[in-house]
Amino acid sequence: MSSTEPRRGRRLDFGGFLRMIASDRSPGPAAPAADDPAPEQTPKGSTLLDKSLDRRDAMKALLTGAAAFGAAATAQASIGKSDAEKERRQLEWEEYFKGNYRLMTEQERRETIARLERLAELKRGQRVSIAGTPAREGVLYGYAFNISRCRGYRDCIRACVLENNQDRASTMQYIRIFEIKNGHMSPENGNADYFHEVPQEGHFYLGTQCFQCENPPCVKVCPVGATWKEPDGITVIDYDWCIGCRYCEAACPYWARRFNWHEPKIPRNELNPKQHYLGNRPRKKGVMEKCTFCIQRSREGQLPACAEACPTGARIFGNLLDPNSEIRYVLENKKVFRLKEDLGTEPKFWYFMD
Amino acid sequence: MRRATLPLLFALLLAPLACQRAPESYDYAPALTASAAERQMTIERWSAEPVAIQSTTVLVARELDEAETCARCHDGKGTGRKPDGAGHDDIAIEHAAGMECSDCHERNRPQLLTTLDGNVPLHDQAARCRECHRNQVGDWLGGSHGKRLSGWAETRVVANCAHCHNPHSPSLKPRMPVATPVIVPERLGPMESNHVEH
Ligand code: SF4
Ligand code: SF4
Repeated sequence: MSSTEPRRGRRLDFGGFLRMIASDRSPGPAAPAADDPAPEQTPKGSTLLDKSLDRRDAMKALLTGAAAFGAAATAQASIGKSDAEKERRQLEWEEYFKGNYRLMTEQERRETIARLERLAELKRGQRVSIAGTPAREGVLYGYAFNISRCRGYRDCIRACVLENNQDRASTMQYIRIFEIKNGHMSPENGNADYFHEVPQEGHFYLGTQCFQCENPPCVKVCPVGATWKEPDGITVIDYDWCIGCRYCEAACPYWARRFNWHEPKIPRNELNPKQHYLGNRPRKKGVMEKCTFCIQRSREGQLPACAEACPTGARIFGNLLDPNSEIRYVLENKKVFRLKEDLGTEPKFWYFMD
Repeated sequence: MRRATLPLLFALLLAPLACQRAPESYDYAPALTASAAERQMTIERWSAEPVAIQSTTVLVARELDEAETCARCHDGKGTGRKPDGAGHDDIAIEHAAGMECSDCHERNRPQLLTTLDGNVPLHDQAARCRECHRNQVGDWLGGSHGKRLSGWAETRVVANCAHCHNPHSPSLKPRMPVATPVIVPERLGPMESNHVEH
């Protein structure tokens, strides 16, 4: 909105705000009055934060007033559109003042999920379902990666991007598959950028992603508590609480975290509508994200998308606390290792060879 | 839950699998879409063998079967010869050196596989494979070799040997890696790198 900037300096009081809207209105079909509530920029707006005032009513009053002025200024105002717009802005307003998901009550969690689902519909016209499925009792997720089976096909990366609604514009990927010369043992000597027939003679392939450390340094450094370890061992991020400082990205010894430098872009027909609040719901500009072992799938009993897509069976996922699980078979019968074990991060992601 | 015993129960347990598969875009393994009737349980009888496995019940995706394979050419009415008269001569065996058909197939009833303990149907192929590839089959039963088709919390369903390995030429062939998912068209202009922009 080109008219947004000059407005700011003139916003002195609520009446001024409304007068300004009325006088600044362009004759265009849109409803600029409803474009930028930015109530924190008005002294009046700050009273809305006062706990004694019901935010919802206050916002309604503000928006109704603004809409009424807008309607008065433009005889051709579209009622339906401004209704949706009003609802969107009210929901966004309420979203703005919600708390950290970890500290929310069940009720608050349900409310924010309902708001986010409705917002997805209002903004993108797409129906999504956002789950808040909690951790299962007696479950601790673990992952094993067979470096003698992986053949570098990268089906896992494709499945991950599609499943987790990663930004296509910056080709964000949680998984790296490193092509490493036999005899070397570290991804630092590998190449994750190959594009030739695989497997290459004399090489092996090693995949990395977030290892869901049992002692995660990324969690310790977060200044606002936006990232934490869930009871089933998955390190999650509240995308709406993250301030984007990237401390966690620096603290992770495994290069697992990804930052959104831009508003993520996902083709409409590729959006995965089956989402989780702490998982694959679309992120926004300026927040951190990473692999969550497909929390929206694993908590429903499914395999993560990468494990399901792997055509060679190199990826093994399961419950570390279940003695009959495949992951336990691997840990008990194979020689396993983890990356940078000396750091004490205790990743729950093991590599093994046949 | 892991110790289901009745075939009927298996069918019931597997019924939901057919409909809760992942988006088709990465539905890689064909057997993931197999119907409940196309899967069959075998295996539990091996759990007492000395291979290092737990005696967990394993369901095996069954896609090799006389009905599906032989009947492609043999309708039971004619001579069974293919139109070009080739029979099975066109199958090149690229397995271990010197192997021939009768090392695995019963000579006069090739729909059966030979094992030291007698013949088994095609979908019990692991019984034959195990006689040479003991470690692999042990790991397959235990869970570190092969591909699990069901979710981690569901009854374990694994792919059968021939699902991944063509028994006549079992090594997996090299191919190109999968390309990155498509870029949003309107952003096809110059792409900013995550590492230079602030
Ligand atoms: S791998 Fe990195 S991002 Fe994942 S839990 Fe460990 S430190 Fe955190
Ligand atoms: S980028 Fe977000 S999650 Fe990471 S440390 Fe900063 S606030 Fe916490």
